[in-house]
Amino acid sequence: MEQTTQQITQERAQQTAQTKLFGTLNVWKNYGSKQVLKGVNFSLPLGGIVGIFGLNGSGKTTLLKILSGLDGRYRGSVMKKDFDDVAYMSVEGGYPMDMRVKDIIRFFGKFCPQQNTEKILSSLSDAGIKEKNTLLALSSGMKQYLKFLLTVYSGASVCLFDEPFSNLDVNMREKIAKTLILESNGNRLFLITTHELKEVETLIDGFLILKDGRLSAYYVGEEVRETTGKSIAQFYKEKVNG
Amino acid sequence: MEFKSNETIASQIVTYVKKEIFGGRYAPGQKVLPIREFAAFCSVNPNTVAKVYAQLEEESLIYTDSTLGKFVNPDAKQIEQKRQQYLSAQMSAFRAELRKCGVREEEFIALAKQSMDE
Repeated sequence: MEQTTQQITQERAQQTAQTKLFGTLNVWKNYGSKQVLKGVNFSLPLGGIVGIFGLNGSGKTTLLKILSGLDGRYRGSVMKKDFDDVAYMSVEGGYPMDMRVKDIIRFFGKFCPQQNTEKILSSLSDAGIKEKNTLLALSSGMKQYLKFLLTVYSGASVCLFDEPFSNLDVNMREKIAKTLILESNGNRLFLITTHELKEVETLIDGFLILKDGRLSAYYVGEEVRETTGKSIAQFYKEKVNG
Repeated sequence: MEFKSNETIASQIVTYVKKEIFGGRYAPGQKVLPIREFAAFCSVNPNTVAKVYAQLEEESLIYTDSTLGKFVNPDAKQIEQKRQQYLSAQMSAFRAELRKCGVREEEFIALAKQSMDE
């Protein structure tokens, strides 16, 4: 069951004749004297939904920022083989509060030629969010949903979602889960960090665990369930505390 | 959909679909949802549903039309045969459980009748 990332990469690459790969080579990162990432290695073929699990403070957000290209201060390298477009849904805000929803969508569209603007607009209107509203008029959950939509409908080959489900009500969480399922395919990789595993347990193809500054091997979700008889949440709990 | 943790998601959905077919809620010849849409309906990974459909197809409960999509087997007789097989397997398992409590044939039938009257 425990396969190296390399084995998985090879198998999945063979299955789909897929050559696009995303990963890191020996990534180290420190904040002052605190070493957060201590040689992170992974390599995943593009396609599917993959979880990155870890406790609070394990460095999930740090890793995603590096993967997104937002944080360039690290040692090691990020590998993007045969593609270049990565979208990132951050936890933090960052847009001016007096900006209108439609202007933000247009702004992102300039960087994302493949943006599915129609889908963003219809999803927003389904959720009762008007495009002429400014961010100030949106609840924090609505802002988070907007960020999610901008990322998933960016058309990017790799989409990084940092805690997309946290602090959302049950309806929003369901909308996000369904959208991830409908938009995922064999050519796009969705990486999702979370510490609330229940939400993503059935959504993911597989997962990696970030612990003590390093990433685990790649685990296939259904194989964990089948071979251990445990839920992914239980399995993870034992791994992370073990 | 609620899932048990000690079984693969795929096998739990296979059982769910079988019950829908055997219960007549998915009628013979009826179109089934495309993989991605059924995955969204169950809130599960699309590859899981791909496996589910592959297994149901192997058991001749559904079939794929290369242009029109996936359908429940239109042969009602064959579905009924599969249903009988499924029910007798369920029944044997159930009886085996009750036998462990010392339930023999007469008591089994009495229990069944009693349960029907409740």
